[in-house]
Amino acid sequence: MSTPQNSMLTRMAVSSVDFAVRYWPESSRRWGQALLAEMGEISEPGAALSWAAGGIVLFFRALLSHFFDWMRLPAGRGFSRAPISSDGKGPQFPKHSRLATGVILLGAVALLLLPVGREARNTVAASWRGFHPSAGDRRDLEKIAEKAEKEKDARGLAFVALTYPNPNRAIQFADRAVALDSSLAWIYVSRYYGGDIEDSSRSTERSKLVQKSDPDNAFVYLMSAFAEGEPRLRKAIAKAAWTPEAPGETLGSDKEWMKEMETAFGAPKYDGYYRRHEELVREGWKRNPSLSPGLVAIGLWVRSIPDALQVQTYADLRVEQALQTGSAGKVDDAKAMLSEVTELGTRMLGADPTPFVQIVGLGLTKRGLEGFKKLYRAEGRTHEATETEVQLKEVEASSDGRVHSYMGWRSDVMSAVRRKALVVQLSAFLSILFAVTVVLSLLALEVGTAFRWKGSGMGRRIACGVANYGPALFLMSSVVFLWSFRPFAAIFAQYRTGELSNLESIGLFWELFTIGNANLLKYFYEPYHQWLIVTVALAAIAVVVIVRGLMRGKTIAPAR
Amino acid sequence: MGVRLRISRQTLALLEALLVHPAQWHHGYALSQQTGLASGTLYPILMRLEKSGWLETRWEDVPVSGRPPRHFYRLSGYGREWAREELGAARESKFWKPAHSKV
Repeated sequence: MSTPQNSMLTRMAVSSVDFAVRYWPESSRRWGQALLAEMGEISEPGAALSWAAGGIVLFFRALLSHFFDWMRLPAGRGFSRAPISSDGKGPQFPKHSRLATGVILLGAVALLLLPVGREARNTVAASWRGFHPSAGDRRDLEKIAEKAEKEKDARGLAFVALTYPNPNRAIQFADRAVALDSSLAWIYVSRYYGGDIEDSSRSTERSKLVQKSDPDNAFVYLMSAFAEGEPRLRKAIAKAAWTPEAPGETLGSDKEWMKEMETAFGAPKYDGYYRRHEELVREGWKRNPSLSPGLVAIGLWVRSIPDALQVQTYADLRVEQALQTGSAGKVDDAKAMLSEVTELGTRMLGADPTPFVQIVGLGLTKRGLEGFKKLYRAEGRTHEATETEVQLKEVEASSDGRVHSYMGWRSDVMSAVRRKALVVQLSAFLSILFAVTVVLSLLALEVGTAFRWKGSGMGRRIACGVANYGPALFLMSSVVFLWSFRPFAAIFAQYRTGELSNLESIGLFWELFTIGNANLLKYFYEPYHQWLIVTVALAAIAVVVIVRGLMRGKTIAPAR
Repeated sequence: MGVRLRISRQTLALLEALLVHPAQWHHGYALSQQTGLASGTLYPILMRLEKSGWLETRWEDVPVSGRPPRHFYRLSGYGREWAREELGAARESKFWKPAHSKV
């Protein structure tokens, strides 16, 4: 005899099978009904529950089987084969089954989800954003910083400080890194913050920390001077018309700027932290290889470099001062002043292989030597003046050579890489285009079935055509995309493992930015191109309408 | 026809039960009790046998009031021959030991 609880269990078992039968696929529903009918014969609640459990398993198997049967049909086709259109003709369907279409699409998506696919997607997406980091990139960096903070990993925090796009947030990470390891104080000057730090109350403190940690380094004082001089120059430019003498007049009257520059030019060494900066970024990327290459580009690009205008302005002031000192009879003092200028230039040349720094260094040496030449001539020391003239010519030749080789190297790299980058961009663009059109076509066919989308019109034919060939094209373009990205992936991998030389790693920038330059989508950002596309599209539609009208006219004519 | 059937011990047990009174119609719960097969195992085998053409099915002609009509099963003529062959082969290969002496 069943207790009320037991009968409740039996009722539950019956209800569950009854519910399943209602949603059972029609092709096998009678088996569900057969199973349900047997439940009237089962009095024991445990047996009823066990019977119902088997029924539910059978229901899910039937659903799965039904799903696979459905997948074997082409997109937009249901199990009913009755023609939808009133003219007796059935609607057009794609050639391939949903399963075949789905497998090809999944294959293409799986390719793009591979680690190399992820790197390729990240790089191209970053290039389309002009290497502006995405919200995801920021989250990645925040996570790295959080982990580094937990592990008291000062270098991890310093890496985030160098790569984080927002300077105000970046300086917070720099503060934390330096608090954990004061030998990392150089990151305050190695990253260019653009003078936009909101909390500038600690600027002096940070500057002093760096000077204390590396007191003999000219770069440290140069950066302090640049921070002092930049706002003054901006103001001066905003106030008055620009003249070649304006920087000298504006900055020469700033005692603080003059003091920092004097210390910089008198310092015994120059280190722009080029290697330390690059090593730290490389190390960070190696530890977090899934990080967007766009972020790494930011990390390398935002490195502080000498402000050529300010350095040259001080050099000119110093040379002028030296010549005045010389004409006052203090020739040795004048020579010492000029030596400061040439020596800083020489130190820059030896310390930093970056082409820009090399050019600034050569410019300083040239200015110093010109000063020496004028001084010797004023003193009537023809022999020394001639020797200096020879040296000057050598420096000029070297400077011109470096400028030309830099520009030539740049253009060589650019032209060699541009074609590869164009293939990457084009295949990425086509992958997205095919993926979107295939998804839209499949959706239109599937949803169209629900809305009884009739027959074989142009729209239906296009949707079927896209469903037929789109998945394969999407797969092909994805394969081409990943294949064409291989040289870039190889460069990134070499950079991470430290196999690239300094100059080659600068080439990394160009590789990245060439991808950005080859961005096809940028044409869509300009209103002129947007209107051009709209005009061409409207013209194409008009041509199609006219041609179709003419064709119809021709087919009607013979019937008369 | 044309569906390949995997001859498992469960299938053999069901064939044996259906061959006890081959001309009689059997219902699902009785077959389950005879073979000890759960509904989730029994019905997929019945479905496959029917799809192969070895099983005949019919609905109860006059259902008992208050409950839906029951579904009945028995082996078709070909099905009985095939079932005897399969059971014999399984017995010879010692893959299966019969529960009933009269088959």
